[in-house]
Formats: sequence, structure tokens, C-alpha cells
Amino acid sequence: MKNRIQELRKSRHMTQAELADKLEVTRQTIISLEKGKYNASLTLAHNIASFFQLTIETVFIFEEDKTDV
Amino acid sequence: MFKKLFATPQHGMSDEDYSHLTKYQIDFVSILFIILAIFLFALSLPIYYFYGHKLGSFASGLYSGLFAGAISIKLWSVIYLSNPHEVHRRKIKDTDERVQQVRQRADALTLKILLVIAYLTFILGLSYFTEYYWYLATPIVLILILQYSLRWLFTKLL
Repeated sequence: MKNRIQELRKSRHMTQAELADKLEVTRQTIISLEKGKYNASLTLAHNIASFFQLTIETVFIFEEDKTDV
Repeated sequence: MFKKLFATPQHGMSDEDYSHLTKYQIDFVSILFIILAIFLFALSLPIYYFYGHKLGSFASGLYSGLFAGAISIKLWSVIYLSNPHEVHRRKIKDTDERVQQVRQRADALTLKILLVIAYLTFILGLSYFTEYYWYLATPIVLILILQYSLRWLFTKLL
């Protein structure tokens, strides 16, 4: 699942540490989310979307598995 | 009481709530260790008398260790719970879902590695101990019973 966290964070001139502090997660979690290594839970996705005042589907881009045809 | 005792810190809880929960759980463990230490201390004299010096010394070492452990964790909690920045840092680390997932994966992998070690010990033991090698199967059986019974229990409870 892709996401726009890095783009949204940079547009607000925030560091990863600041965003992590606001969301009450570790900085490593923000790094993993931005790199796409970790998929956020529904709760965290909701918190992130609420923080950026956007909907979940605007922040997170769900891609269907192309191999599953 | 049990709910609070085994409760895990939840995301979104305040620093104060986290501090209270941690203090409660640490206090319980400290008191439990001290009760066990007193119990062993009371038992150590009859153990010395009836079972000899070796087992008596073992009991003495155990109650000293339990007492020292109880004092240490209590002191450690007093020091870190009095520092708000440390409480906040630990709360974030304990409630972070990715950290929890990593811990769960590490725990699961540790269990698998322990099982492999237990299997290898059992196989090596077959060639060394002709009479009591089946005792080496005990850890494997216990781990597997515990694993499957916990899976069954959690399927029913959660």
C-alpha cells in the first residue's frame, strides 16, 4: 500500500520527529511508513488522516494485488 | 485487579495513566518477589536441616536474589517514573503498534529457535544417554502443549 505521508509532511514543513511526536509513535514508524515498509493499522491510518485533515483514502493509496488474477 | 495487572498500554492513553499502570504492575511484581523471598527465607532453615547444605545454599541464594530483584525494580521504577520525559518516551515505545509487531515477531522467532535447539538436544541426547534420553523430550512436549493450549484459549477468549 502506497501513501502520501512524506509528501504531506514536507508540505507542512515538518520533520519526521515532529510528526512522530504529534501522532505519538516512534520516528522509526514514520520512516517505515514513508518508505512503504510498514502498513499502518486502521487506527493509526485514521489518526494520520485526521492529523492532515484528509480522508484515509486520500492519504493511503490501496493497490490491488496484480498477481492475484 | 487481574485486568489491570495484565493490561498492556493502549495507544492514546495519557502519560499519567501510563505511569499509574506501570507503577501498579511494578508494585505487584515487587511485592510478589518479597513474599516469595520471605517464604523461602522461612523455609531455608528446615531445608538446611533436612536436605543438607547444598539445597540450603541454593534456597539462600534464591531468596537473596528475589529480594535484591524486588528492591532493584522498585528503585528503577521510582527513578524513571519521576522523570516525565522518560515516562513519555517509554509510553510511546510501549504503545507504538510497529514496535509491538516487531516484538511479537521476535518472540515468535525465539520460540521457534528454542524448539529447534530442544529438538537438536533431544537427537544428540539419544546417542549419549541410553537410559534417560526421554527426559530431554520434556521441554519440547511442554512448549508444544503450552503453545497449542494458549492458541485454543485465545481463540475462545479473543
